[in-house]
Amino acid sequence: MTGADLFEGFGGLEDDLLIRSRKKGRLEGQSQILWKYGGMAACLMILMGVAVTFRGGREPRWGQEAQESDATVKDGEHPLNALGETLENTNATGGREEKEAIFTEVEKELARPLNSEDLRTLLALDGANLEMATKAYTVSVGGHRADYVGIATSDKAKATLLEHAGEVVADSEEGYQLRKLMGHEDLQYLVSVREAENGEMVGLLKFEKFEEMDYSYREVLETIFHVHGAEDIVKVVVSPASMDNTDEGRTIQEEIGTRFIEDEAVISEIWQMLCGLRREGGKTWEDLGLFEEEGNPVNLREQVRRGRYLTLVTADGMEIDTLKYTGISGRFYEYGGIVYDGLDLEQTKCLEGLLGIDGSENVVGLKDNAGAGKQEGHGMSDIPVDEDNYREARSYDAELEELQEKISKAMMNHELPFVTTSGIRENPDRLHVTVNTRDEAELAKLKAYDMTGKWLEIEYNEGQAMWE
Amino acid sequence: MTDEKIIDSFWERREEAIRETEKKYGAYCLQVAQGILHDEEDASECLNDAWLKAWNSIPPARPEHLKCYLVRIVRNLAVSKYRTKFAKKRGQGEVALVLEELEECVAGQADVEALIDASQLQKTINVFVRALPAKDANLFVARYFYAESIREIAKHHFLAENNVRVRLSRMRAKLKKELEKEGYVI
Repeated sequence: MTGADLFEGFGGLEDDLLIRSRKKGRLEGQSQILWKYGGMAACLMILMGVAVTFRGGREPRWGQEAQESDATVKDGEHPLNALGETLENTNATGGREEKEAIFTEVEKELARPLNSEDLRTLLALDGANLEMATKAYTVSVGGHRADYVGIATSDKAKATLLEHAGEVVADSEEGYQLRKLMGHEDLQYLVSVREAENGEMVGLLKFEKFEEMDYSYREVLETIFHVHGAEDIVKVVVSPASMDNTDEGRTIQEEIGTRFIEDEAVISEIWQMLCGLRREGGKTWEDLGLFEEEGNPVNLREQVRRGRYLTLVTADGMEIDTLKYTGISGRFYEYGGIVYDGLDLEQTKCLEGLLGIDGSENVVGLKDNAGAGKQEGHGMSDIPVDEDNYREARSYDAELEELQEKISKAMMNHELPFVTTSGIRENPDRLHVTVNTRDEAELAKLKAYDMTGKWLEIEYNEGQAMWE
Repeated sequence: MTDEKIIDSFWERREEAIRETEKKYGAYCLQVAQGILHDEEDASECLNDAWLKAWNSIPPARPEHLKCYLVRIVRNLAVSKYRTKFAKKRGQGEVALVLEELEECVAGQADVEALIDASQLQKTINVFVRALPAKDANLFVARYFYAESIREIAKHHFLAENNVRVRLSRMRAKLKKELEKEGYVI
């Protein structure tokens, strides 16, 4: 027998050994050390640490009710919490076998791939890892340059992310390895890991956009989200747009409500439309037609009425939650200010019917099927009819930009730890700031930055922790 | 498309099965083949052969883990191609180093005419790997199934390269003993 025969013999390794070897995490090593040196006390410490990490998650974007209340996930809702409680009780009364069984359950729970719900629980609720949150990377993938931004995760999330760091996708110049999430083929999230003297530096990155100015949304779906057909999408969740958080705006959002699309034929219809979307010439917010000729934004309540946020839920539990649609110009767009064209009038009417947007016949600025550039009539006097208006260049007020800079700096310096995001969004005349506190004294600190009192738009959202 | 649907397509003899397989696992399988062959053209050929083999073997097979099933086919075809290509000369790339290491386990056996029961050898290897501590088993599989470099393995497992080398060396010594016990090495 030769070494080559032996090498060939390795070709018969069984599935579970191959799968396990691809995890590349420290789970196995950690558990052995725990048993060897730490015994049950160490197990409990780790378990409780993980349980704390998984506590306090929030409903996703579509859970408007959750966004409007202070409710956090209660203890025991995540399987690890329940196991943590059981182990605590078992420590008082149970035997070693019972504890071992529970620990095995915990290992299993940790070993399964993280899904979007798990990731939400890792977002910064306190002790945010802001250094990682400010990172941005460009990764070459599938012939594209993909931009990723750091997400503010809780410091407590480090161990979980480390355990779920999978295949290496790229190395950054700063020495970070950018890895897929273990057990996932998609590239929506990457875990950044770097060895440091006092342990590993770990962060979570989320895909933002391709660097190129022209690409199709289908390329994004296939390359980044690993969605290759309508059958890879199990659900589409349609939530109301939330750019108006006044009482009136919230009332409209409540009236619209959230709808869940699970019918395969309807999902297939939406899939076809998404495949036809194109980002052309790097259009951004300014091209969305959300403001009038005079520079005032289109009535925010109208934006809410005719806007929807889409979340695509994939078969492996991941959520693609960046797509938004506005019926005002009949376009899809994304958080990063990326605007997509490609829907014709017929598709727009069909889509708005599916999304529950009233008055789809009033859509403006859409070309017909023949692409003749014909403008359709509209029913609202405060909406521009001239498509050129949509492309009108608009520079943000210098004062507003200055305010944004100040608040960003304060966030970096940990002076506003309750501020999770800040940016100029749909309303170009406001700085949209997301906070995770309702404490008046804290909010006053934030408001003090806005000397005029007119620039800030504050949204309370405990779970939203992405730094844009 | 989900794995289950791809397998259904194979069973229903629909050509989209190959298309979808290639779309979903093509890049990964190519990476595995290239890791062994270090030649893009050979690796692509290997992939085409693998799709054909999958087409011919499903049905009757209904793999539980399609990805593992495909990777195993690709890996074995790549190894076979490698052996044919370098039958009379020293090979290249990481596999040449891997083979050198494995020679340690069967030292002095190259000249021994022995009929190897391939399936029995595979069984012995599976039992051996399964008995290793999980982390060591993962390192062993990465090196001797996927032919990953020491550097890659060290990176993926958060270990120093030297640590990986020492662990692998100890495991090879253990494997040698196991092969002796089973009568593969005299």
